Amino acid sequence: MSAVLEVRGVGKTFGGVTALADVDLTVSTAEITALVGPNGAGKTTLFNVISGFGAPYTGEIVFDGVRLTGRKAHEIARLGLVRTFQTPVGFPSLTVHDNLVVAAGGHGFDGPQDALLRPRADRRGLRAAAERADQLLGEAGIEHLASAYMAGLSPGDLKLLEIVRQLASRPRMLLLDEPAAAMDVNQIGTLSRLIRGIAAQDVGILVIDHNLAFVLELADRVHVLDAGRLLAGGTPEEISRNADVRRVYLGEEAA
Amino acid sequence: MSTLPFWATVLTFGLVIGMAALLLNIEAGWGGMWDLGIAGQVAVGAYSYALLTSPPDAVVPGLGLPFWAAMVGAGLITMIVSALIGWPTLRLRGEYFLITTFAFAEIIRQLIVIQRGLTGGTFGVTGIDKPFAEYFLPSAYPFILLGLAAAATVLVLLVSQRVSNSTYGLTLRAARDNEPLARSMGTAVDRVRIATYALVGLMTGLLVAPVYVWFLGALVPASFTTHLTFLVWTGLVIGGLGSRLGGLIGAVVLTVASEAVRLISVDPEHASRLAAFQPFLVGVLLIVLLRWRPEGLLSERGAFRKRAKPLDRIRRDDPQTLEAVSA
Ligand SMILES: Nc1ncnc2c1ncn2[C@@H]1O[C@H](COP(=O)(O)OP(=O)(O)OP(=O)(O)O)[C@@H](O)[C@H]1O
Ligand SMILES: [Mg+2]
Repeated sequence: MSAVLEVRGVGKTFGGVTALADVDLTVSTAEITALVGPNGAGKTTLFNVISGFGAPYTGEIVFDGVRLTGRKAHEIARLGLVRTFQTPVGFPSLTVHDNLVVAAGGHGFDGPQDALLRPRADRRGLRAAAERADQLLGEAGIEHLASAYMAGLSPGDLKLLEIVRQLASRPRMLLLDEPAAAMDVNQIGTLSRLIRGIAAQDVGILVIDHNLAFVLELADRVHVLDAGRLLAGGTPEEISRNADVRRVYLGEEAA
Repeated sequence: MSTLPFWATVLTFGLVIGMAALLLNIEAGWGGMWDLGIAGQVAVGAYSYALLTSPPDAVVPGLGLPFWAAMVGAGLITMIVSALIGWPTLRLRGEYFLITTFAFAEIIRQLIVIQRGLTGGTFGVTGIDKPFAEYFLPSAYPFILLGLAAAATVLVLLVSQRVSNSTYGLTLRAARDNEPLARSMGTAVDRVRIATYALVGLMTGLLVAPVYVWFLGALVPASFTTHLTFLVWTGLVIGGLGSRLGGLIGAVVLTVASEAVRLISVDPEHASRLAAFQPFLVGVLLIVLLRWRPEGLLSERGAFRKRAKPLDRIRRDDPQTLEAVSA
């Protein structure tokens, strides 16, 4: 078991609002790690901080032995740490297939140089990315969506594609922001299998979700965030027994 | 007298605007960078070309280079100027980018007016070196010029087609659609955009500006006002923002249609009224077209349909607001 992502004492404020305070968290490739917490707890903010979006934060984040602090979002992605977004819009005016092609090839394409000066290599790269896209669509069982435009898809399909697309670049670690939201029971089953399959290939997984049943069934380790602070952390059994967690969650469900 | 040379000249101008529209399409149509500084880039290229070809002993002295060397030089200079303007500007979002590029173009024009020693100020640069002019009768030259413009257009088209079929073109469109997502996939969006701006500058200085200079015959700052920028934009919007050929087709349709108005023979007393009618006609043309074909004559979806086989009938709605994504 090796720690791939380490979050140490991370804090983040928006004006006067403390979104994160002294968060410590470790993710290893051997397990699926989950992060739960009520609305506004700071879960997405933690993802933004890790993946290089938004203004600076305090504390330290290390990925695969590399300090992430101060790095830009695209640099962090190139290290193999890739996130999904809570609102899965994708690239609306591209087809589903092209969405995946961009992801599969996206890392290398910084400008027009290759397109104009090395057209053959560029075509080869595009073809390889297209094959990878076909393969991923096949594996996820959604080949029939290949030529659809993102904006026409159902919320569940959008959520699924959000993950499938980010897999295209073969990441070392995935941050999944509420992948099960807007999904029906069948889709959640597919999703769980997909995530387990990814984790089995030694890819680190940190998943946020509101759906406790889904999370407790899927994850090996669960962290609970409340008002920017970690409330508890442990195995799903420990978490489901934890009194503080029950209070936060029952409180939320009552509301 | 035949009107053929006249139409050759109109078409030459149409191709100049068409080339600029094809380049604008790379930048704005696919890249989402709504540039209002086209006239500035063309001005930099045009004056670079004129000063590189102008003999050292002319009224406005230059380096006296052959035309092809001056084209390359103008391309490089415009590329560098574009990259320098793009570097701070492209970090700006939306309307701030519009305003800033607009302002840069105006600054460039004012600099040309002020730097009399270098540019001839409002008197301009005359005695432009036109390629192969010495081999042809002046009456035949409009056709030679049309041929040169067509050749330049073919080159711009090749670049534009290459871009549209490349990983770079796809990345550009992706970053336009959803910038945070593109970043999260490892795309250095700022770098891609600056490189795009530089590419457009290179092609503008290398091809668009020289052909425009040959067409004009003499350079004055008044040839580089925002009118030029809006002509290019109108051509592109008529033809179809984001399509492959729309910019060229739209620009040629626009220039030919608006020049055709001038050919309507009227009494001299009504001539000025007819001239005033010209922009009105362009406006009506634009409104009618956008009423019936909001995406322009051609569209982005039509242009890239090959990869989007109509397997199913899923309808594409308007792109959603993406602000929420990064929040
Ligand atoms: N860009 C921002 N500017 C100001 N405040 C913000 C910003 N982003 C988040 N916040 C605030 O930080 C807090 C945490 O928000 P965050 O989106 O991280 O919550 P979350 O746990 O992901 O919630 P949800 O389950 O609803 O997605 C909230 O109070 C939110 O209002
Ligand atoms: Mg959230």
